[in-house]
Amino acid sequence: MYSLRKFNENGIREFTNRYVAMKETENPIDLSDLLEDDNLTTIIVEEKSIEMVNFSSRMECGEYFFNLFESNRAKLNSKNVDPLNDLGMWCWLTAVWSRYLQYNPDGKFNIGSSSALARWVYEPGHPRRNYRHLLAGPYRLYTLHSSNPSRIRILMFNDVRKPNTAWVEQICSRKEIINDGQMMEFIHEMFFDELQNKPRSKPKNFKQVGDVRRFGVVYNQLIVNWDMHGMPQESIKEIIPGEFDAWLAKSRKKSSVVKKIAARRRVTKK
Amino acid sequence: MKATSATFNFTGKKKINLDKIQVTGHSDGYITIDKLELESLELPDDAQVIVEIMTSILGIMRFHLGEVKAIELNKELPLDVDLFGLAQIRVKVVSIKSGEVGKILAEAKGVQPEIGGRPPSLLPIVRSPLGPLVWRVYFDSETGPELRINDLFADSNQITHNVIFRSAVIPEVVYQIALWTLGELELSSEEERPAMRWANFFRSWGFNPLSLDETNSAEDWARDVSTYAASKFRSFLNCKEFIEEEE
Repeated sequence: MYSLRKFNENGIREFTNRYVAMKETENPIDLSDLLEDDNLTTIIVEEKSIEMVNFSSRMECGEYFFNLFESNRAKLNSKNVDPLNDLGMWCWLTAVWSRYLQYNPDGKFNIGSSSALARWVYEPGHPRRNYRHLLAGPYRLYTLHSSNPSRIRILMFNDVRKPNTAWVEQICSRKEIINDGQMMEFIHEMFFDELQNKPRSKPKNFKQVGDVRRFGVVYNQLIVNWDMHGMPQESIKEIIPGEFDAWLAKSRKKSSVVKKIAARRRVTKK
Repeated sequence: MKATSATFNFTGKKKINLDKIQVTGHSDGYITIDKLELESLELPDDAQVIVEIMTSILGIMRFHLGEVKAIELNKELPLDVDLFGLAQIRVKVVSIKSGEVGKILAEAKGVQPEIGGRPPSLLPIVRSPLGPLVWRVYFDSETGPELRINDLFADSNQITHNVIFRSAVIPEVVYQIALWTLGELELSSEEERPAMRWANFFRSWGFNPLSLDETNSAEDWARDVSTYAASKFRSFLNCKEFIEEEE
């Protein structure tokens, strides 16, 4: 167990250098000697409460850090640490979780020359990269949608080390979408399969079916003329083009199945 | 390269000019819409007036200012003082007419609050977590460029007033903004866009991005603007004098 700390400038530099060395050598490097080095770190919360745990999903990761920071809010404030913006703290946390983050669920070492620096070194001020960090990314999303995290399951259902890159990139890079809770609810309903806990598979037997990339493009066109942030879901369904009809049909069918199962469960419980 | 000088509008959406809006930022952590003149746009009386404030921290906040015929001005719309320069503020007028519910009839983008009676700066300086970097120019189509200074410095003025920093960095900042301005103008040359404010600024220096001819590349033009900035601000001479004094 560790006290919650953050790297100072030298700590950030050393951490970054070691990550770059891992990329270049494509071999794991131990970072544990950095974690309690008083020349490289400062303590934010004295109590030893930080322990590397394996997260079952990005959602669990986001929730873990959200609860950690909320329960220590006063201490963070007194040290002038803003979890959404603190590079030193996220570098330190990534160092704590480094043994976990270096390996895929199948045990394969996952850092190579093409690995993105932003996955390990948080870039809070960069709107196209700040969501890519393996730990801070889920935390940002969870914080933004903490009033109803289930609406972002399509971005959070899978393993921390294997983000659903196509979806995360298409949605998180469009601030108009990711900042809009109502639109995330719409996306969840249309594209996420609650029974299987993963994105719906592409509908078959349709000539033209829009995918997530097309959805992003279409959204960018619609938002020019429609008040997408304030429109009810039914009105949005009316204006999105026919290429998404297959998804809507699928979501209607599935949601009625989910409702039936839920009703059956309620009866069984009684 | 030539920037477009006309745009097509097939949708009928009207533009609310920024001089028809006045927004004030208050140090207690809220903004107010003090003026919103829509009469000349001939909008339906019952259309809804909505203010949207978007930040990456709080997401999208929406505030209803009532109908066009009775706009509720001076409402306190909560916004943290630290977010004044970072928030994207829009004013929308939206239809409630059957068959076109949610259609945007008129819109103003890139609205910025005045603080202490002063208009917003052309290049806001914002303290920001930049890790090992000292500075970076961040661009946003709606709010324009901002110069970000690493927030690990106790006081960003220490950096921005430093002779070496000003001499070495400002011409590069100008170069990046000049290139961005050209890129933005290729997309649109709406008068209210931040890129147009910069275009007008560069024009006041004698560099008109809208009359760039095909023999001049974007990079060359931006480099010329940057060199002019270095000369105007005596970058080399100031830097040389400073170093000689230090020695």
